[in-house]
Amino acid sequence: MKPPRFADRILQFFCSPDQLEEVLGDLHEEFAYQLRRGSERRARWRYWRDVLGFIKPFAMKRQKSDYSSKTVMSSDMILNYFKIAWRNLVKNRAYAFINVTGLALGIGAALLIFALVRYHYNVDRHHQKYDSIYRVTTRFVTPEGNFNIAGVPYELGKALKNDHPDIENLAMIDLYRDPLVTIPVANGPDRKFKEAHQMGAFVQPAYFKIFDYAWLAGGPAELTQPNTVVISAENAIKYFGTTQVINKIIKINATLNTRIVGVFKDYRDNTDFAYQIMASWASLPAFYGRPLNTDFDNINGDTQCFVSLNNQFTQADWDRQMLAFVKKNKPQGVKDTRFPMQPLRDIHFSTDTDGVSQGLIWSLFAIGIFLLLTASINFVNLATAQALNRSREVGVRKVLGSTQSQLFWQFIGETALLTLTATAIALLFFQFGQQLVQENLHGAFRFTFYYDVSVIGWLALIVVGVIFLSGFYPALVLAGFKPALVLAGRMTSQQLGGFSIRRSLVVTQFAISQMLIVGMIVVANQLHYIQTKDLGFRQNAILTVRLPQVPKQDAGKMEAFRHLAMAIPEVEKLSYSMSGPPQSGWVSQTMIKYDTRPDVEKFTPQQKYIDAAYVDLYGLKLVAGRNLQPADTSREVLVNEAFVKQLGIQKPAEVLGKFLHNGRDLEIVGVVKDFNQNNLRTGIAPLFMTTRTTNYFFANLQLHNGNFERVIRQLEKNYNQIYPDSYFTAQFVDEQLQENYTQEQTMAKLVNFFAGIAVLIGCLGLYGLMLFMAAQKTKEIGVRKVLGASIGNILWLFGKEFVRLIAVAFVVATPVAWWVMTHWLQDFSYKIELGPGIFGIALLATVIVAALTVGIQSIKAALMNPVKSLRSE
Amino acid sequence: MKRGYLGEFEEIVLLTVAVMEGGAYGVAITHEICEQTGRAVRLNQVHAALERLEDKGMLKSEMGEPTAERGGRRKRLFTTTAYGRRTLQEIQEVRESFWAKLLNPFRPATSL
Repeated sequence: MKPPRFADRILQFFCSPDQLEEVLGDLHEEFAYQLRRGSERRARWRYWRDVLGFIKPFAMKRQKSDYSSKTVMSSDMILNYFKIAWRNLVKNRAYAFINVTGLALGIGAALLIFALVRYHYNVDRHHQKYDSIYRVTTRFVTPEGNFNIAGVPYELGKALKNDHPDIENLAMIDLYRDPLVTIPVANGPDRKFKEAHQMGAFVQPAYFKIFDYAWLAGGPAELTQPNTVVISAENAIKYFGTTQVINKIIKINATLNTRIVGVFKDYRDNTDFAYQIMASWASLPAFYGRPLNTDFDNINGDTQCFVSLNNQFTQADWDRQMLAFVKKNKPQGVKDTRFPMQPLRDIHFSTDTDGVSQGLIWSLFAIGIFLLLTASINFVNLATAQALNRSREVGVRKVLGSTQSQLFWQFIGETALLTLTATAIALLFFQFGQQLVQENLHGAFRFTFYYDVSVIGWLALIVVGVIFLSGFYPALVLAGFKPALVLAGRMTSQQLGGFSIRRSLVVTQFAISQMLIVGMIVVANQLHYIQTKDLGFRQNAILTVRLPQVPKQDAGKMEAFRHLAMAIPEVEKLSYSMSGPPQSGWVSQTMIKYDTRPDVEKFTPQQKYIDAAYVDLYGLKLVAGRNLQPADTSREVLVNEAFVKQLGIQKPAEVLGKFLHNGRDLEIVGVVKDFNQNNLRTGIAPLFMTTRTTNYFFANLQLHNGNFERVIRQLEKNYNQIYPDSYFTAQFVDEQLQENYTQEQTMAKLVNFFAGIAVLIGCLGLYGLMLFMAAQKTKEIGVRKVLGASIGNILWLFGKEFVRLIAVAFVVATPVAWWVMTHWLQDFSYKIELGPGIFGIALLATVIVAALTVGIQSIKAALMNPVKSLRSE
Repeated sequence: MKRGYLGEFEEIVLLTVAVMEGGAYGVAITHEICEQTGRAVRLNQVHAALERLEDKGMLKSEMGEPTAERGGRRKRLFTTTAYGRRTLQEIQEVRESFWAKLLNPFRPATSL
């Protein structure tokens, strides 16, 4: 039986060599003694306790052995390293401050970025079946490219299950926004909850076999029945004050009475599917007041289908059999309709279906790397610039027997010390930044970063990376000094090979700053451009009021509301429509036949239901024909120019009087000038607009100037009078348009924030370098001034160096920045030109920033009295 | 006369070494103290005390014989120096002079 080996190792490391023998001997003897007396476990435990008792490196007095130990890790040397490192830091406080601040900013911001990246890549990853979950989506293959919709026809689920019984689990889900929940109260008025930021859903029970849910009460078993619902604990507590709410009744959107059959634990991990109220799929017909549409042409983004697969039926199997499925169930769509399966891991990133752009995440990641790089470059520059000051120390150490590797590790150790200090501060920055980001940018998402074990890994990776990036080169330079040269005092800073390397590092830093500045300018310009571009319709002072989310609008009530609204003096015009000109996240598309052409058209136009006042209210321009008749029965339709073009017809007037067929026969009576019905990323698509009173979801009101607050209050009163079961939501069109660009705005904010930090770190480094140069050149400046140099001459002495470096950096940065930003802009249908102006501004900005950073120090140096600088010679 | 200051624990260790007469080394001293005083003394404490006493010149040491139990390592055997012995004596004298001045010597407590 031997005592624990590892404990001995530790002891060998800490104990002074001359005592090791007796101490280890005693410990082993004691171990044997304990072993005789009791169990092995106890003996081992005591052994560990005793060993740890001996580890008191600072309290242990050591007898010097006769020969100094040769190990690098000798404790005396380490103490000496600490002492010298500390003295150097104190002596060069300014540099130490710059280094630590720069590193702390860099590490903190990089950590924040990596937390963001990690968050995005971990959304929904907590589901056990993560890798085998797919969403069946719809893809329209058009000559212009593919158009993806997250939704599928209502009937797809049933058909898919019939044709492919091997699919492990399949669940349909139908989403709706902003549920209105009513709790019936026995005596007294019902309690109403407007869940304005929540999503509700109708699901099939299999949904809970695909995704992981934890149940606090009940379960999904009864969800096969109509009029059943499961809700989150958060909502249960909000409604009833407890989670034990099984069999209680809640009414959804004033139309559907449901019985609660389950309460699930709140969503804790980040997920894209945080539906708080999930009623049974079988309740849908009751909710809509009509049987589900069995038509395979009826596709809407909110009706989705999730499956989980196993070996019996894989995604590859589906890819092979998809065409046969389309042929069987949607024969007219063989040419252009596909139902690909989208893996769960792609859903968060699919920009077609409201996901986050992966490009954004990678550009952030790149900025994170840049941040660390800039901070490290600062360190390298300042350390090599100061190397001369420490050359004598290196010389003496070498003469006294230090090896090159010993010196190398000494300097790496110093870097590590600074980096660790910076990391501690960086964690503070991270804490602040995290709150800032959470409040300003993402609101909805939770930072699970802290509870994540891999964080330590990330942090360690960053710290070790930074230590070696910033410590390696200076340590190499310092450890490489020739003692003879150094001690003879024949070493000058010019002889330090590092000078050209230092220059190229500064160039790299400038280049990074310039690229980031170009990025900031381009993103800001592009955002400004798409937000102020003429969209082809009026945006000012138009208020949209949402009508109740009911299957069929009541024409009588709409008339009554119009009446009340028009009575308000500020309201000039009112129009009802399915959506405003900009429709966010909700696109209705349908296949059509044109005129007498036998086949379905190859393109799938978008459709919109509007009334006759719409064109005038939004200021749409007619290119040919006339506006719609007010009556619903007239079956007239307006198309846009893009529609005409897609039909392959040159003159808009040619389509007038012809018919469209999409179940109904509609006569084309007018062609409107193209306007942007989506956002400017997607551009203009073929569109037709017709009347259909039952499908209007918005009242659009054009207002005079006046007190809008009062108007909205009055409208709310009117609305509640007519629709007591619903609740009032109003939004101005221009505000709604801004919402279309939240993702871009988020990007702009993030890029600006982090790029700003990167530039700031660069400035810090520049400042430090300048400080050093000024100190080095004190005497030179003195001599020059004595010989008659003007202040301008002296300033130029510093300036010319930086101007040269900036110029080189500009040449390097411009093509890279141009390439990257061109790629980013490709996502937009409408984009700004990347003219030389932008790069010019970036150059100018860099020059100004550099001049400000360098300026004060160089002026100070130039104004110094030569008597002072030369006196000591 | 000013003598070297001794802590209570150091005094016990020094006494133990004196008692053990040449057989005194880390583990043995530890066990002896445990037995005599009933305290849970740990090896590292004893080592630290021995080291301090040696620094003060009250102990001297030499390496002894290796044993198999110790993994072939030698013991460090401690013996008291004259200075150490005198210090112990002085402590004893000081205490005795105090005890002698006690007017009512303690009787073993019968009822407490």
